[in-house]
Amino acid sequence: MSNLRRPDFSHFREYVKKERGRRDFTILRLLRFILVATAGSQEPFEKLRPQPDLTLYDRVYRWTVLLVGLAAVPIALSMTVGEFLAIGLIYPFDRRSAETTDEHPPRWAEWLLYCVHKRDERLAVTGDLEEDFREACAKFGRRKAEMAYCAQVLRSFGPFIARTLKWALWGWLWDLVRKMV
Amino acid sequence: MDEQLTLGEFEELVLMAVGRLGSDAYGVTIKQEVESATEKPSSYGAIYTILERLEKKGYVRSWMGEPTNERGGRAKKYFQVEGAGERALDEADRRREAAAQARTRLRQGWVLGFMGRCWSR
Repeated sequence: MSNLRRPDFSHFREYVKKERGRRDFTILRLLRFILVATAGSQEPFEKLRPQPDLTLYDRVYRWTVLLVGLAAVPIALSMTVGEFLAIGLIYPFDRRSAETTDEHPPRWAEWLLYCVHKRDERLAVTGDLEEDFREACAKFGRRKAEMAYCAQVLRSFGPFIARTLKWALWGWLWDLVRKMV
Repeated sequence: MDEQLTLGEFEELVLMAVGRLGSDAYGVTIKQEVESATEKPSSYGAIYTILERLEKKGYVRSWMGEPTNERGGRAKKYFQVEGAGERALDEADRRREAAAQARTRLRQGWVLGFMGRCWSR
């Protein structure tokens, strides 16, 4: 047992130290990028120190731009995700399909449509797609009809999701205005 | 000229389809009509987005029909062209005619100009 030496981890420690330095540098670069993008200065770290030539208005404006810019995206997204979940939960209860036949469109695709529509339009769009689906089932068989249904949902999803995001953003801004007033 | 009476190309197609279908204008038939006019596949996403925009502009109005079995117990959403929509279509026609006349005048101008230059030599 005497010839067994204690393993040498020094090269590993060096590696970790180097990687940590690189990671810190990356974070600093990211911060620098955000500050340059928002404050519009080539020396962003100077902005962190008190500067006598900047007016109070300038400072408030820059910090507001920075904070609103950073906060708007995740808040808008989280509201959209919340709406997704809330509307998606009513899907099993709201689905009043005539279940006399086995032929129903893929549930996941239908659920996706449920997530991005208001009530009236939800009934209209899913109904239109189901009408197409049943027609395709009779003509080409169930498998091809399902594929066509999914393709149609995925193709339709771009404009619908863009509109939903717009609603979410406007809703969030409206709430903000109401709270401020 | 009323600034509100402007129509995009796809908006005009959808509005014409709604007008042509009359009382039977709902998602499926409108999509079929647009596809037969353009000879290209279109999506419900695009059609409904445009219809919502047209409704907001006051060119069409919509109402919900009765739920039917072949649609899985869901109602149809019917659309109808309003007076403003008809005026917008007329305005689009008028603009197209004006553009065609301008093109013709331009071509005539080229021909006459060419003849003039030939004559002067």
